[in-house]
Amino acid sequence: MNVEVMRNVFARNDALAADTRALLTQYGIVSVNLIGGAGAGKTTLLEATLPKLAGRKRTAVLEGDIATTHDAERIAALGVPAMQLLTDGGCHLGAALVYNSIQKLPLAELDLVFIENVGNLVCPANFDLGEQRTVAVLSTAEGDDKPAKYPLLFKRANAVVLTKLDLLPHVSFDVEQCIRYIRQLNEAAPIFALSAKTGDSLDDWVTWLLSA
Amino acid sequence: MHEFSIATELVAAVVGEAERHGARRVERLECQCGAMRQIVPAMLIDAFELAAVDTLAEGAQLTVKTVPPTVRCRDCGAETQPTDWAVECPRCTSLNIAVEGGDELLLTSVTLEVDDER
Ligand SMILES: Nc1nc2c(ncn2[C@@H]2O[C@H](COP(=O)(O)OP(=O)(O)OP(=O)(O)O)[C@@H](O)[C@H]2O)c(=O)[nH]1
Ligand SMILES: [Mg+2]
Ligand SMILES: [Zn+2]
Repeated sequence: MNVEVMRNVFARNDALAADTRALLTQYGIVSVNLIGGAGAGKTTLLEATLPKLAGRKRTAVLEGDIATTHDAERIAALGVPAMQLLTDGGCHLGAALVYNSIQKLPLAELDLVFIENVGNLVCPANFDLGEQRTVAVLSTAEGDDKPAKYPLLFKRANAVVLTKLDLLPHVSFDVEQCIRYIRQLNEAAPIFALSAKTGDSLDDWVTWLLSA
Repeated sequence: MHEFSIATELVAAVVGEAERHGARRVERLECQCGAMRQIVPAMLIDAFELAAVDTLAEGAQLTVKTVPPTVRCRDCGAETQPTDWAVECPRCTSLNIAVEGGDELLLTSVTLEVDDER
């Protein structure tokens, strides 16, 4: 028996993601899925951003990692509720793990939930977690051609953070060229070039989050 | 090796189809992969074989069809469908291009073994 179908391969994941999105919407929560390579600076970006949101948005962070609770500890040190999601070797977060974890958060007391994905530019781009905003995090240490090499993430992103801008004098990274590659895939996403380490140029990014 | 995480989802999708039709097992399946997914067909086929063990899709034959994106040049206006991943206009080499489509990942056809055919 032959069956012609047109079935999205990620239907199972996407159905759970839709449940997460509905639940968050019901509580008026916006969630942000941070995707970037290993060591791009996702946790450092959160460490720089969360204090600027204090008093304006009630935040929490889900920290996806293959192993260790280091990143959740770094967030908890700021006084922001953090939950470590361990994938036990899995290279990306899936909607099921996020759906189960998010229900353990005090949803009625939150406005903005960040999900830091496992450091990886490839696999996480395939998986909707039910977030309202997908953010690609790329650092100047990784090379300006990364959007051309990992197009799916940059196509999907609602915003791109170009971080470690303070390293520009030490690396050969052409910001204009990088933006050109991003614009081949995505004309609309705002691009925030900043340094999470020095705190330079964080304002536009924070404003975007406040209005998300 | 992102093919493995995709293979796991593909197995779930095809087993879902098989169950819906009360099939005994999956014989063949075909999927369409947009070039932007950067899937190596041979690797997806190997990963699928492993991920399908002990499911209704064990031993099923997978065919992978790669779908190119459409590249529209904002400078010379050319519209092309390069088979390889492109970062410049194949006609005028401009980088000022818009890449559209090529991000689909669909299960398009399934051949099932069902009881009443025996
Ligand atoms: N110079 C500079 N270094 C940075 C910046 N942001 C992060 N780093 C450094 O980059 C390294 C990795 O930063 P993390 O924030 O842990 O990166 P990550 O993306 O969370 O890493 P994983 O979660 O392990 O994938 C650390 O040594 C940071 O201090 C920045 O803006 N400038
Ligand atoms: Mg981290
Ligand atoms: Zn052209």
